[in-house]
Amino acid sequence: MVFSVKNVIELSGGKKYIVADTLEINNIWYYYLYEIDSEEKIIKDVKRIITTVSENNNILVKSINGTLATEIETKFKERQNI
Amino acid sequence: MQDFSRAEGSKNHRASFYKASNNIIDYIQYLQNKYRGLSERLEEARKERAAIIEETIQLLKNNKVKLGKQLGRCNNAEINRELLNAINTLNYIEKEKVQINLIKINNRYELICSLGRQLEALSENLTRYRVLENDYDEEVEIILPRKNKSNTNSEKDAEPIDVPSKKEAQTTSALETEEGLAEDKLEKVVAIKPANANLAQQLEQIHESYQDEVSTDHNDESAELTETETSEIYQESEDIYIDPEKLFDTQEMVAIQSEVDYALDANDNSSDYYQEDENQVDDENDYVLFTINAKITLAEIAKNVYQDENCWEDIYYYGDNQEKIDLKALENELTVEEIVSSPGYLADVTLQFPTSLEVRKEKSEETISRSRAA
Repeated sequence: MVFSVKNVIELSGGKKYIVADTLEINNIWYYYLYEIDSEEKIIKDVKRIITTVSENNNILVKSINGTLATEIETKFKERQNI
Repeated sequence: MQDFSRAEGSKNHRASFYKASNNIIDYIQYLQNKYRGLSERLEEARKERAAIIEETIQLLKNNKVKLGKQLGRCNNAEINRELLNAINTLNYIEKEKVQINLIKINNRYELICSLGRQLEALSENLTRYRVLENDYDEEVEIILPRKNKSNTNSEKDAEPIDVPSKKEAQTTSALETEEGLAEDKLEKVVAIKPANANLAQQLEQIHESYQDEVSTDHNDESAELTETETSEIYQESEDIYIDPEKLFDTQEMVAIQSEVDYALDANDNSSDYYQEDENQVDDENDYVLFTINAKITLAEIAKNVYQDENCWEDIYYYGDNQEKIDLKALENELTVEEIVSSPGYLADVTLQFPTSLEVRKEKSEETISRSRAA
């Protein structure tokens, strides 16, 4: 696991996110993020599911889309319900 | 206009012309060289990417992973999707390899897109120096007919295919690559830090509000269930009045049901008014007369109007029905059971049908006891 819940991460694109939840499926960690404003004051209603890969000591973020994203989002929501 | 009669003017003009044209030639050559260099780099990146894809395919084959679509036929977005799905089925080491390959593929793809954009920009520059060909007017336009196997004779009349121009194709591909880039862009993590108290509080509030929503949804669902159950119960209760149209698409059944319903309504409405003379009213209104058609049997009528096939016995013993049915049985030399369960034997016979179950039962019991006594 690279990020923990309530971590704020800043990406090379300039956007900032807060980690709302983490989930491991088949040894891959997925992260449920909410976008936050640049001043880190407001959580926006923009969600994103990502996974990470590392290359040359860099952490790269890869967005998860499509059916896999839907499945993971469902699992995240189930966890939140618990 | 320049004065070409003077040597100086003529020379200056020639010098200017050659200088300008040489500049253009130099610029074109510069564009060509630049294009060649970029194109070689692009080819290199393309081949590297293809090799990585090939390696990944082999890796997946060795692990007996089946993909939804062949990677060779996928665009970059599809490759990402396929590999991300495939990753889940691999063990840790293989997974890491595929993930790294995926990054390499995406990096090369990004480079290819970037070089492609530069090449397009170069060709845009070149269009400013586009020269019309001398034989432009004499060029033959070839119009290909639409492929139509069923109508080969009309090939001559077929409309030309709308082939998109190169420019259009280039624009489309550029758009596609941009979209692909937006989707598949790998972003580097610049900083990680714990959230401040304000953000943490907001996040907790979001979680709480979500849980509230879920619980509200559950309540709604339970309420809906109750409504559904109620409607089911309601439906079940309504099933007592069976709709003959659903079972038999015949006018006869509809007519019987409507007659029975009407009689029931009439009975209900008049019961209060004629309370004193109840017996008389019952005698008048507790049955309807109906002439049986050749297509339907008495057993079917019993089943569909009274929900019980065996009710034909009650109808048989009701009123003067027994005499009429017995007469038909005698005429056809058949048993009563055969008469009531075979269509046609009771055709054009008018029978009395009781309007309610209680009446029917009471009456049939009375009739049976009477017949036994006799």
